[in-house]
Amino acid sequence: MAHAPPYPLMIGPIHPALKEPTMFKFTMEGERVLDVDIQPGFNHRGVEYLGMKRNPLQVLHLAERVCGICSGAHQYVFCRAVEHAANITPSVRGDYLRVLVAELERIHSHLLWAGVAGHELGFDSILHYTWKVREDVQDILEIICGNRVNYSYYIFGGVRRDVTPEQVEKARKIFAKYRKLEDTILDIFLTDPTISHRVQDVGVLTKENALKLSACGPLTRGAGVKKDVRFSWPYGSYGDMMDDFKVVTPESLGYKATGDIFSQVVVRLVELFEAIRMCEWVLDNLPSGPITSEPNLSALLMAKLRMAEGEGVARVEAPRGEDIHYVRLKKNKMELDSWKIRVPTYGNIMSWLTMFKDAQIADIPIIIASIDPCIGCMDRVTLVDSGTGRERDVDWAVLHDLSVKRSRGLMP
Amino acid sequence: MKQHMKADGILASFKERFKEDLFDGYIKSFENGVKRTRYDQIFMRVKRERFVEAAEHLLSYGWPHHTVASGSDIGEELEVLFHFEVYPESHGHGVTVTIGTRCPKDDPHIPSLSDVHPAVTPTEREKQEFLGVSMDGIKDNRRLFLVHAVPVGVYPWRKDEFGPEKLVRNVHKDPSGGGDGTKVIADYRPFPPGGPPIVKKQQGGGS
Repeated sequence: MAHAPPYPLMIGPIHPALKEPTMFKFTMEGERVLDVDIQPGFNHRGVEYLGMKRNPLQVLHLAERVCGICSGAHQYVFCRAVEHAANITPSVRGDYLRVLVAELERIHSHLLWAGVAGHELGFDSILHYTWKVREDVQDILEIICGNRVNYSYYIFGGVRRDVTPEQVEKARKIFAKYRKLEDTILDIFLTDPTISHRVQDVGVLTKENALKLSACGPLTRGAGVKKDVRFSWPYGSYGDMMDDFKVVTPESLGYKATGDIFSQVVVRLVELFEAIRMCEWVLDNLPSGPITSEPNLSALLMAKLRMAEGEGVARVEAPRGEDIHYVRLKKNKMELDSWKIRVPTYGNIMSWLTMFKDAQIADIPIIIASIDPCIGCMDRVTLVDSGTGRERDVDWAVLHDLSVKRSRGLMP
Repeated sequence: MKQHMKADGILASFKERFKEDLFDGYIKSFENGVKRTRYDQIFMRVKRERFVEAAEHLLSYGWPHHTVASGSDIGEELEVLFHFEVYPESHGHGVTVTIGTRCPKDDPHIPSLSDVHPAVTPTEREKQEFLGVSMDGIKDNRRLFLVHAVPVGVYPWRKDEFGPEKLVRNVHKDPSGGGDGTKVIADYRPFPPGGPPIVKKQQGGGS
């Protein structure tokens, strides 16, 4: 850059690789990021406001549509929040089946992330490989729930569909297939020198910052903080699974928890195969009994939910991190009185911003992709020249190209 | 690692310290799975004057995990609840703690917790723009989500005249506007120059 630093670099708000638009305002000195500010809200749909105009059964399907990737997590956590507010206890078999689908969702989400991360680094063969592998878990989700994306599986008191022995058999076959791929997938991500160069010591979130800024999900576990709602506040069948499973950190695979993107890669990959073992554990230990404690939906809505007075907080560990819903119900009112959703990316905003400090322009895409953001779509970059005050738009493809070139430059 | 305190012990210590300044304090417990593993959540409200002190008291159980703040229009008053977890790194001892406070609508401001816990800033910005409540001492006094979408002075979670009903009713006629023909331009101010909206107390109502 010919002009004197620092200069602003605007990224966003539209970007095709991610789901929702957001804008990053970087302050640059040459290629180095000095500071960053984030401007979300370009696609704020007012979901909470909509929820306050609908009854809990309607909101159940709205909650699922908060996110296209962790749709099950939102439905799960909303169910639990309403159950907490209305004092409904889910059935035990329902608890187990809920966890089965939640872990299947984790497998598909982590595989999706692995592909996106590969793409941002310029390794489209990784994208094609992981997304091909991901199709198998999508098939299990379709077999069990009937849907691939919005599962509509959770209901107050349990789940909506039981699993049949044939479905279990099909699922087990696919799990066995995945376990055979474990070494290959770990090898691709952890031993490739180019990937290591691009993600090691890049986008570092220190343990101190992770704690101070309350980061969540694989991001915080990559920094060595053992936060995982599944284990700290065990809901569903996780309480029964606590002796057999532990919080995943990079140390689980013998790596140091440095808080860089590599640590996050390790955490996600270990969690991916841990999730497969969890699914198998659930199928091995599935108790008998009804799948829901509230089989009569109209009675549930008219008698229990309409007459309920109270509030509930529920938290689940979605693939990307902790997801929390707060629900307040009022007696003789069909609609929710109050509803607050907090998605994992929202909880990670503050930590995310610290990760960009001292990063290079070409590392911006992978740092953005690293936390698996649920907001953030960049399509163009506006470079504002502080010397002339002139703006120029740079297509996302150009930025992506920079990232690819950086990987190519490191290739042996 | 020091011993983990149970939810009833935590709530009792709050009640002992804040006495009548603490209200609506209770515990909800749930059990799941075959082993019926129990987990607890605490709800409590503290008077606005001692709210920061209550949040500081929570730090005595170790550095809490902050999740989010939720906000509600409860008629004569506005309520903001901060949701934390104590012992977030423990194996089964985490307790979700909700500490909240209320303010009357004719004096809509509550103290910010940003000096107590630095992670609260985004959610406090959100409460200002969505609920029309001013957070005294907030570290970043800009709007967060509604900059490009909603005119200043409309607060989507309000159920009174400052709510978004007019905006929502007219959105089909005026999809990019403020509901009355005015175009919304990017505006980072949470409140108009006079501060957050004041709703005059009705006769005989509210506390």
